[in-house]
Amino acid sequence: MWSNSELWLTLLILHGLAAFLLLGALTHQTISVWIPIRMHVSSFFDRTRAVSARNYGAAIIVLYIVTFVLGCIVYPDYKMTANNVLVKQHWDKASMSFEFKEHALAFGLALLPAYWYYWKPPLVAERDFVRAMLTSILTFISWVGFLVGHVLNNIAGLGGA
Amino acid sequence: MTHTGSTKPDPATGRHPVFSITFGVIACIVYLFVMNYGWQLFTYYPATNTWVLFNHPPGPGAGPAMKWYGYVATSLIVGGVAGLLASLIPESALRRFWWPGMIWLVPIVTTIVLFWLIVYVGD
Repeated sequence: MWSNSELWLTLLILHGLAAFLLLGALTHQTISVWIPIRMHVSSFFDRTRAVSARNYGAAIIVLYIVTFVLGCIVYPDYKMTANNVLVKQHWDKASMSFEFKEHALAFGLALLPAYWYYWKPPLVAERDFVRAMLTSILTFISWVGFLVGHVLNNIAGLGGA
Repeated sequence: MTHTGSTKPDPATGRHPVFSITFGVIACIVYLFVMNYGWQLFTYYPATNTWVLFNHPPGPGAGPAMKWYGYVATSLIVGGVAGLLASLIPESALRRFWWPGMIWLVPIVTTIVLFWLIVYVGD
């Protein structure tokens, strides 16, 4: 039904879309845990802060796992195409940035059970700091993963992948 | 920061939090050793679609190796076993060295070490 390249491309786009949703949820949650809104909402930034962070926990875990699994599936294609371009062109920093991304995302996966625990209702005030730190770390890791993946895909395209 | 209103103390003890926190901490730390010393559970060769246990040598023409799947598998298994064992330790004994803050401090430290390993140490 589908050619091999169409299948990889579709999976890559799904991976990117899942990552995009994950980033949106995590970024909203991080902003709302560090600078929650306490007055009436007026500006765009206020609305960004005013989301109910507690409702994002389960969705973020599901999205992280879905994005991670899709990333695992498309990884061999990256290795055989985009990574070959980086190696042939001696773009070492680009290769290293992908290495950093994949390892950091594995750290994020390991943090998910604790993240789940800290966002599990009822939310205890004494856990606010750890909860905010865990959310921020996952946000940082996800942004790194998204930006590195996106940029490298474009760089590899420039190199003829 | 969000304040949820409750004033209950937060020991973060009990089987679920102890497992979750130990799992995350140990998996992150072990991951660095696994990737640095090549202790992956398996290696994948996409060119020939071959999986080999640990880092056993592949057949001829195997192409580039993908060790990352094996790194993740080893680290998660070790983290899971450590989490299970830690959750069996009695709470009174655990309290002497238990600090839930490890769960955010450790990944920050391991990410810095990871950066150093990739940039300054290499393969």
